[in-house]
Amino acid sequence: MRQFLHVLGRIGNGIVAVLLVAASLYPVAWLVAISLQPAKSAYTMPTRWLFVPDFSTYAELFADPDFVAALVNTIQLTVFGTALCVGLGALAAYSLSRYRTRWSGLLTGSIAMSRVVPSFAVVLPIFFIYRSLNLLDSMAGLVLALTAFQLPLSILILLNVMNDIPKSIDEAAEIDGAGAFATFWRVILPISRPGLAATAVLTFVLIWNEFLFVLVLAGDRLVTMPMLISTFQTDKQILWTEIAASSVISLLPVGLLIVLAQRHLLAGLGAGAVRE
Amino acid sequence: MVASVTGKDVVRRRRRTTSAIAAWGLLAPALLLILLLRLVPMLMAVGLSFTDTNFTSTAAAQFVGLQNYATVVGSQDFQSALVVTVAIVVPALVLEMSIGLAVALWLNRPTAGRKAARAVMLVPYLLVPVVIGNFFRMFYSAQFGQLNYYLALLGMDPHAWLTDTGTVRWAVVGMEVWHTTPFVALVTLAGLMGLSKDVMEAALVDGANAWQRFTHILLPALLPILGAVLVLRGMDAIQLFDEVYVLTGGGPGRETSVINLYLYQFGFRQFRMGETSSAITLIMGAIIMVALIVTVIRRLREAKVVRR
Repeated sequence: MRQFLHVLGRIGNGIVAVLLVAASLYPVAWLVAISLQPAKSAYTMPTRWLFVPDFSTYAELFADPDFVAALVNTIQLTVFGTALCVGLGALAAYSLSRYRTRWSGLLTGSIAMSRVVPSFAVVLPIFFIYRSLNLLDSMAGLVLALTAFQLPLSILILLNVMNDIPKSIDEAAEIDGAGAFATFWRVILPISRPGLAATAVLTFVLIWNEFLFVLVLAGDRLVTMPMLISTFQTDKQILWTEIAASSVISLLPVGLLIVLAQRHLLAGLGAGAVRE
Repeated sequence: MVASVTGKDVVRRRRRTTSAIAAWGLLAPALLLILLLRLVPMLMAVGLSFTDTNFTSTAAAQFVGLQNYATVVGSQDFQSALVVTVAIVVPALVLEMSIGLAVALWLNRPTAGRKAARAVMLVPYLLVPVVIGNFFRMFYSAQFGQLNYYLALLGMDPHAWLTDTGTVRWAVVGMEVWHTTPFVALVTLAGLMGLSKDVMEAALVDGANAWQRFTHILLPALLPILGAVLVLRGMDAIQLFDEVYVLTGGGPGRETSVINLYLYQFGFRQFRMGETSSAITLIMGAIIMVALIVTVIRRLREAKVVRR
């Protein structure tokens, strides 16, 4: 009887595991399958999972200058935005962690609090400001707006990391003759590397996926991948293979990060959630 | 003697000045960006909410007092946006918190597949939201949808999930639960793995059964984490936009027009900046109030724990 229950438990666990994996990966698997078949396959039921792959949709996309431009824009936006978030975030976190002024506590609190302000309260007024500054549809404007929006999270994650580094390490470096900058660059930054990685991968994914900011502040001349994917769908028709193929391409970097930097992604999510 | 004291003083004062310069110098770029592109826009929204600013007219904006607020609060679209948001966010939060907790508990055992399971669960949460919306649009499609296909295999009739006002909100809830349950599960799992083993062992010795262990020991120990996850998810959920924009565009009618969609369609597309700003200010005020209350409750509870 005991053994029977044990076997039953194992079967139950197996079923739950399969369900969990299937539910999580089904949409991606479907998109990949559709992107590699002729256009009508999206409307064929049941979905065909075994087929000879047809890469013509991908070839068409990469021959389309609009698609290439969107891809290049998204890469630029994400790389610049992530670099700024991590760089400026590290400097700010170092300042808040090591140079305590009477404002430090208040500043940290305000930065944490600013995260509750919803994106729309920020993005519509920025549209207004950018329109008068002629910054709409510009890469610089989009990078700055998104950096400002993601910076508080970066600062908070890095601040927690740097607060965990004992002050005695700074003092030891100072006794060895290192100035403030050398201490930051040669001592604090290398120790904070896991935190920097967590901030970088999380910010990368958030900016890579961003839609609302692009929709409001750009989207006419400057188009990104999420924006482009949303335009394949019009009232008249939905270009399913194009949607599927461009979706798969836009999922690639995120998928790569999940495979290669899973630990850092999990750390970033956890840091954003638990330590505020 | 005297000279040496003054010398030390000068050095100390100089060091304090340089450290103040360093403190603000290091902070300045980040602070400036946050100030200019987060705080100023926020305050601008508050300021504009008292004017009749309008993108289409070139006339100078006039101060109109609380008129915009009266218009917005009385408008059916605004009221419906609030109702729709609550009707979607509350069920979604309840479902994702309970399913997420269950998955976390299930994964919190020494199984070989735990690491793989965590990687797999990152996929739904980090997927491009626009892609998620697109996928579910096809998934729920009345004619070609996979959902109807699988339901037909179970002997159920096809249904127009996205055009039926009775099911469209649940369709959005389903999409959201798929998208965000992994976040709850992953963060809760991290919390579970951080709990001390002693507590669990003590419970076992006393002869507690699985359910008692869960309600008396695990759940109380997990509450702070679950609370933090709920607050974070709630803040995120009321900003729902991308997926719904693609899935339904707010329709049919205004049935799934959540706050962000309402603000986009009403304010941005119709260029009514003054009225939109007052709607933003109202929502922002409500959120900041809730955030402050949550912070105060947390502080009080922490203080209580310390006193114990």
